[in-house]
Amino acid sequence: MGHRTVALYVGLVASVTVAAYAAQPAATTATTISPQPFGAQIPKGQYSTSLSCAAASCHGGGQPGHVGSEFSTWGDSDPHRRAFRVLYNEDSIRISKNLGRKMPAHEDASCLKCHALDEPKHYTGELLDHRSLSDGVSCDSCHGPSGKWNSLHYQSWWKGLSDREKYDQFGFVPTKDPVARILNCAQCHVGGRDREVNHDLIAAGHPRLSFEYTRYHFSEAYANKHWEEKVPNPDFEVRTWLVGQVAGLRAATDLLAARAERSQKNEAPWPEFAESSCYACHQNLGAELRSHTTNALHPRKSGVLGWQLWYASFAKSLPAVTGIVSPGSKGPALAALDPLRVEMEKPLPNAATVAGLAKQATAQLDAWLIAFQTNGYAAKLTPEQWKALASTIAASAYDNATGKLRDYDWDVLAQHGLALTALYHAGGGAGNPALAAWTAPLTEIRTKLAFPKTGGRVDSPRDFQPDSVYPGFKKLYELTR
Amino acid sequence: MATRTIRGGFPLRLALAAALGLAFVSVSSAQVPGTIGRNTNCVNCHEQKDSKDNAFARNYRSNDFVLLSEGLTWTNSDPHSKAYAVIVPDPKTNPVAAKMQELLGRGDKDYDLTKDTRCLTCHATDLKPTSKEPRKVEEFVRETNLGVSCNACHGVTAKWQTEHVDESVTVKYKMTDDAGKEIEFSHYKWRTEMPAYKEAAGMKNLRDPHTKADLCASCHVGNPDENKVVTHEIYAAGHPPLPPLELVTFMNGEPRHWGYPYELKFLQDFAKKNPDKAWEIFRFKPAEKDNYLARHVAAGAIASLKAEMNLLAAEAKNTEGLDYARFDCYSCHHDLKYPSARQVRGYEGRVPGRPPLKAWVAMLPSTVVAHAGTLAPAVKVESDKFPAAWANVSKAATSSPFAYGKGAEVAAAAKALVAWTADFNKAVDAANYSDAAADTLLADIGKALASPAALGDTEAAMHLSWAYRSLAVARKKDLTKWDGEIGKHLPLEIRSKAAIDASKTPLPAGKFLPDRLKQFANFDPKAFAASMAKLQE
Repeated sequence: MGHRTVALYVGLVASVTVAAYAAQPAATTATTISPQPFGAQIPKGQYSTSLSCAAASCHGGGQPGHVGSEFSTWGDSDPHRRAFRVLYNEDSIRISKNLGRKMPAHEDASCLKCHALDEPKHYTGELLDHRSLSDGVSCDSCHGPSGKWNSLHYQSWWKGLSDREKYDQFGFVPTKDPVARILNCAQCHVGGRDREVNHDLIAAGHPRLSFEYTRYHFSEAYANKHWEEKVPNPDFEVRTWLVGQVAGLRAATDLLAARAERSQKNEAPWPEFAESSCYACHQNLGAELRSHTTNALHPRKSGVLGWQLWYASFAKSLPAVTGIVSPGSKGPALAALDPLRVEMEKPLPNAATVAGLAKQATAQLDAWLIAFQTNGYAAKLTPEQWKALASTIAASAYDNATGKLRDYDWDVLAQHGLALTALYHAGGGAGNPALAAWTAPLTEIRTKLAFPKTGGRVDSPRDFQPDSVYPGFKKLYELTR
Repeated sequence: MATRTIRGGFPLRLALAAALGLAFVSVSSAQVPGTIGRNTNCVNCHEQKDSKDNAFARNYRSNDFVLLSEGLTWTNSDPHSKAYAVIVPDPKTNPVAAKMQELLGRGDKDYDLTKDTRCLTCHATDLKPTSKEPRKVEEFVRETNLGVSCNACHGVTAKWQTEHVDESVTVKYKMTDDAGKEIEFSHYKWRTEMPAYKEAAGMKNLRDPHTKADLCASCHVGNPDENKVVTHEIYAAGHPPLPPLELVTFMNGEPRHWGYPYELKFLQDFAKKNPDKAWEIFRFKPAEKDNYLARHVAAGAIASLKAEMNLLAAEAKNTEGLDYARFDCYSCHHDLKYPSARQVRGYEGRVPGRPPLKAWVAMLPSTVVAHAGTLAPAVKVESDKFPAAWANVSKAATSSPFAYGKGAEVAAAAKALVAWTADFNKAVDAANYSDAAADTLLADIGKALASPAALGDTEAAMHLSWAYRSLAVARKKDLTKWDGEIGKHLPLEIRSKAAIDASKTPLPAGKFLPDRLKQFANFDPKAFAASMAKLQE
């Protein structure tokens, strides 16, 4: 299948650009009530520019792709490096204009939160430090504000600290832990309590966000990484896919709670359309609407906007998946998700009800993520476990009893395509003859879901025919029995 | 006042049928005689193939007052006759209804689209149109060859239906015939009764532009008091988008089964002799003083606005915010592409991403109202109030997405605008639409159509272009160039070629809608602007 299929999904959704936006001035009001996994919050502390990491004897070895040259690799080819620069482009200028912002995007705190190093002084009225801004999303953005640990982390005793200690006491984000890493990515790629891409911003011209970790990790644009994964497949890809789903959903419910809370103080719009499936509405009216084909097993009522179908595609099957990768345990019950969905899929959900339910859902997902961090999972997966996973995920798309797909929303279908692709690669991909029969249906699904390539940039699945992916998912279901 | 029996006229036919023990069977449809809500009795008189060679023409000169061919037109080419048929599901011949049956009936195996009173209020003949109670299926006449029948619009009450052809009460009338000869004939006394009298007997005063426009708007826009509301759920199940109501376009496209006053000799004669009475009874003014269709374009625009405001007010009462269907469909329903016409155009102070109200609802009215201010000082007083009244509604409805939590403000603003329409209409009724005024209205609509606001909204552009065309036809302008340019971008009429078959019979929406929606989706503001520029040259 040539390059990894997963990479081909890049461009399906035009949210490759790392970007985010905060609707209101910095208001980090997160109140931690229940325990959270480490990495869930952006640590507070003194940020440093990337120069403090770039010493030749530290991370600036000057040989991109090699250990000791992490800074050099990042500077050479990491897309995060360009995060600030895009704020000067035509799209950014138009977005600011459409939103009626008083300052250009490259001086707008709400843009800088995700397009530059998160340094509070940028948006508290002090002079902008263009030198550090121009780094884009640099070392401290992901590894944590290094004020407390910069001069310590190379000392021998540092390695003896637990991840939790490094995070809690020093503000260091242990990115080797998939949960901490992906929660950290999610702050910008999904949205956080003080930063988000809401529907106002998308309508002004910002691409939608649709984070799925494996798609980003293995994208061509991110081929040259400044680190090496120590965990081999299938464990790595299964872990990151699974955590990507749980952490993505966690970030989404946390963001929803924040949006609902802010809206009650008239600080945010409500209902927030970015919570709903984009293409439920955004499709040209025609003979057939794409999102609610009657052949689906779980169709929504006519005219209802599916809530967070991108991040909640696997909400029902993730507990079973967790049971497979962590024998003896099953994923915690997500009791708040169903009522949350019911409320959010009302034409006009009640903000107060939503805020309460979304907080509960976040706490339940946090408990799950803490269990991952504490107990371990997906370690030395056996072929049987892999098969059980594939079978569960294929059955999450296709229901054999009725012969129907469970949902026809583009987001749900794309998520399942990505999940099965991740599993395909986890299982050896093209290098595994046993998976040869997967290639055709996976490729077909990707092709049918792809946005049109002709006529300029199109950011929605124009001409997508829901029934066209049916054979592919059915085939994959059969292959995974 | 002689009582006359028409030889060969309907009493004989009825008597004959009765004598033979047969129910009267009209050419087009089998019906039960004398049953309210059906057309049985109507077609006895109103299905004349030859307007002159029939008993009513000979005896009452009825053909100088009405066309007498109404039933034929309605049966053969009016989509209203198919109104019920289109909601009878059939996967092959009526896939739209089949889909709606499936989607609206999810989880309810007993669901029957053809018995859903939300549909029947507009797709059948409603025997209790003003009922505010929860509706029952028995209150509707549901027959596939009837749909929205005579009674549905003209009034379902039996009283007027017998009285308006009461041969025992006639009056004499003198007028000049085609040959210039003074003639005297009798007509039913009913004909020249005052509207209030007719209305008391149950006949709708459809000669009044406002009454007529309100009636059309009750289904073609909606009327919450009459349970006529196409909700977002119904749209999402497959109901075609309701096209903007432009009264004259709709009348012509129906196609109209009635004559305009300037086409009917009796009315012309009557108006010449009694201009004030002609206005009082028949709601028209002499053609040299008042342009009949210009008045209708204006009345239709205001009635649509009023209907939509009533919907907004009712919605606002019921929920925390408004049903999605009250907003501009295409603000959400478009494929996403870059550069986006919306983003390039900008949002004129609005927050991007918040659906606005349907632009067409206010755009033609804005033009009509501003123009009406030039008709007379009394109209100007009213027309000056409109911009602020509309801004209040728009602001309240869009201050939060779908007016979440703003129901009371929306309802208050919408009701105020409804109240304003009554004052405005009254002022306009007292003023005249001269031909010169019709021409300036035509020019103003042309200007509005070339404005950035219209270019950004396909529906509004279509609505304005329909109004333009209606007026241009009324003023006998050459439309060749117009049709050539505008036809590239928009359907020129509500019933364009796509919507009718070779014999001009209406096609079910499922047949022409996909192409029409595609044309909508492909609307290119730049290309449309270029066409408008060409036309302005």
